[in-house]
Amino acid sequence: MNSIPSSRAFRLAFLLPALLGSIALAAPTVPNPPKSWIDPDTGHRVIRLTDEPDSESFYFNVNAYTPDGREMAYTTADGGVGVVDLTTFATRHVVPGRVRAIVVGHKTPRIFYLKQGENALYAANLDTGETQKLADLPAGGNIASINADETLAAGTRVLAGGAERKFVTGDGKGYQALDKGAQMAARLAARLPMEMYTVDLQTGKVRVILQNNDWLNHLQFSPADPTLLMYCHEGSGWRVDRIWTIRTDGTQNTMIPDEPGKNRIMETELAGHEWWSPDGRTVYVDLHLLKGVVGFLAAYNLDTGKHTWYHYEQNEWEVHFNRSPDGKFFCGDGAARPGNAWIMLLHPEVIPNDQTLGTDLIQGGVIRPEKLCNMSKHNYHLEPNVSFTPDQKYIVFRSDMFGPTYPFAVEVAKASATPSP
Amino acid sequence: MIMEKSIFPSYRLAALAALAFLPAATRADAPAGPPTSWVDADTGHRVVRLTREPGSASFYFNDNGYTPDGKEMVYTTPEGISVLELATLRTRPVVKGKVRAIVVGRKTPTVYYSKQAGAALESELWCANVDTGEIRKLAALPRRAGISTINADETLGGGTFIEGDASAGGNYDGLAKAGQAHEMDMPDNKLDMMATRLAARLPMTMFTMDLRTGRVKVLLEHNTNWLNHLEFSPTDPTLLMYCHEGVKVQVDRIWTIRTDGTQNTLVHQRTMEMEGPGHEWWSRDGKTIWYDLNFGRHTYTDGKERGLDHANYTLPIVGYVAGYNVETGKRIWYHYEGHEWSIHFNSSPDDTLFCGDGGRSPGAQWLYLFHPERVVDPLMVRGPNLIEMGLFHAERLVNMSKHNFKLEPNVSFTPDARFIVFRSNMFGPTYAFAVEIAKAPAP
Repeated sequence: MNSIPSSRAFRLAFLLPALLGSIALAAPTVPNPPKSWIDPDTGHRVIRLTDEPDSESFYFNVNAYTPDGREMAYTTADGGVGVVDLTTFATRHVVPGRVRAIVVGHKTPRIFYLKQGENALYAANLDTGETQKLADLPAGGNIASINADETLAAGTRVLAGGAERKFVTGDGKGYQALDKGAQMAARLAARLPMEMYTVDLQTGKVRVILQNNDWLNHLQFSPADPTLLMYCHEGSGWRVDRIWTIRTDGTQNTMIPDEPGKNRIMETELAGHEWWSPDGRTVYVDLHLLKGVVGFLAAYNLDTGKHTWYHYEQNEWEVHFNRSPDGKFFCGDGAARPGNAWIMLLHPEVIPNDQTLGTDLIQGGVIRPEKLCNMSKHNYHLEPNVSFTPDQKYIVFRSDMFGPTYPFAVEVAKASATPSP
Repeated sequence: MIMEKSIFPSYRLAALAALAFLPAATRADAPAGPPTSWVDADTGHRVVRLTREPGSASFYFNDNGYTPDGKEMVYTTPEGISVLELATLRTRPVVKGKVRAIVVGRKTPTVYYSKQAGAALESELWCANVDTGEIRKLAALPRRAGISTINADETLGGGTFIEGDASAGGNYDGLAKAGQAHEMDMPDNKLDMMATRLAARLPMTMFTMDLRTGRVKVLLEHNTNWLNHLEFSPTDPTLLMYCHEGVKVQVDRIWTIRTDGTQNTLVHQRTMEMEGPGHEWWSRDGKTIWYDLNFGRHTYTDGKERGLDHANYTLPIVGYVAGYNVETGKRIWYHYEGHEWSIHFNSSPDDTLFCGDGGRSPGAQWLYLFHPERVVDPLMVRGPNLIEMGLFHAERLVNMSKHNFKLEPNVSFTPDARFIVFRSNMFGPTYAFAVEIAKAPAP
């Protein structure tokens, strides 16, 4: 690492979009976009996974992969669900029409989704196409997660009337609203009464497990423990104690501390974009001590209570981080800042501990970045949302670099002379 | 985000006193030798060589060298202790002989110093009035003891000694010192020597000494921490800061204690592995303890390509100058970039500016001025126990690429906050220098 970047410039870059009011325009449409190419800046092969303009891969922490690891669900251009074979890259449509995809099961190859017109939860088997209605939802309610053994769904609703809105533009194409920050601040300040519930997938029975005036969001069941649900107190800026876990019987509602025993030590500390390790033992979160200046990819082991903070340089900051199934790598989807617009493979390193005095100390680490895909043509109002394929050969993301949005996969290994598929 | 802009001192050009107008090198009677004043070509700031004696030096960064009226600065020479009139750069010797300067008083223009008595490991505390030249022996010190600080009303000294004949067989136990090329240089094996000394867990006593009666009062005894860096509050005569010396991550470093032995208090509680607080100092008003705080260090391997004689060097991964208000318990951390890490930081008399003496790592060989900015955002969380966040905006003052950092530059602000004083061997022998905080006018 020869050049030492200045955090100050990045801090300014965080402020600029708010000052200038960036315009959310997709990149100009490129006719006949390539199906596959080797990124000239990185030497890594990039594959466009579908031929459907306006199709896209899932949110970074929402599982899209079948339990056998061979297929990936995606959102089709018409708002239904398709599936791509990760070996042949052949695609097929499974759920037609406009639905809200939730997640692919950890146990069966089923896509769970909402038919919003019916306010009902459905599942479709990606292999057989068999479709099943599972439950009707409470009025104004949603479903955000399915537990590890596919016996429960979990969702929230606002009790004051009206459903939660997503802060995306009205075109339905996944672009973040330009005034998302202001909208989020207003929503947080409203302190609307909410409830969180589970839905029994056998009986359709709804069980309320939490009621309060926090903004309950980002429900994610443990991928391993069917009775453990992570959720967050959503909000703008710093004013929330963000990450919590709760048991499906409503007990053990527990805040996950940012630091040993505390949720924050600094005024400007904020955390976000949390996700589970595949074994359900560790929660990862992007932790800023001061946004644009000091950031860590923070890991908290629920079994041991051990914290590890991997420091990243500001030109390595990612909108979303993710982790490889074997835990040896991280990846990131970059950001719309100078030097930052890359899909990155991140190599974590723990800093050797030289007999530091103290107990319950946070283990320190750094991440070494490796650029995989140049995203300079991508408009970051569409968040790329990286995830590793189950075989760790690819990192999947969505991009509008050719105009319409498509899901892509970039190969983790450098391209050899022999072309990949 | 909304930022509270820090208020930079406005420099009144009319008040620019003699120092800047003393380009003594142009004087006909200027002795041959290094330049006495120049404008740093990389920074535009004027640097003045304060002393004429090769081997002379300003004090350690947190040892007060300035007289209470702010007009004079005491410094050391190979012959003893001298004083410099800051407005005229006129100097005069104060103490002759092999003595160890301790500090200048906060109340009277007195320099305190120790010198060896007849027997080995025996020494005495002396003082000299730099205005009148009057010299007094204050007391004989306990065997092996050193006094390293004088309290705000100059009634007490504070010191330590290793009890009995305990020895780590090294340099840091009060026994004979191994040779160095220059007396003020850090030895090459300093870290090893410190680790050895820490591991020996020698029993120590920390004490105060009544400066009128010579009476010794024990604050801590049979203490196997390595007690070091005693610094009395510059305003509260009953409050003493000290440290547990050693490899910084292996100790709980910064403590305060009352002169009656009560309220022995750890100042910084560590949260991360490899977190090392270090090089603490008092704000001039005695309200804040400032210290350097690192969360681990990056090891870089390109030292040779970047002009060092060795491949590896380190810089902090995350670095702060941390402030702890001893009255309210409130904390603020000012973030600095890794290459702005300095061996020592210091603050101006009113804490509106900070400075740093850099380090030998590539890109870090500068004397820095830091403009602090308190970060405030309407959405952030406020709370009595939450640490306030700030940023340092660095300005380079002096190119130190010719300086050998085995000699630590040890920055301090002059009492009028117009200059930063440091020592340097950039011309070979060590001299004291001052760099002007205001930029030099264009030629």
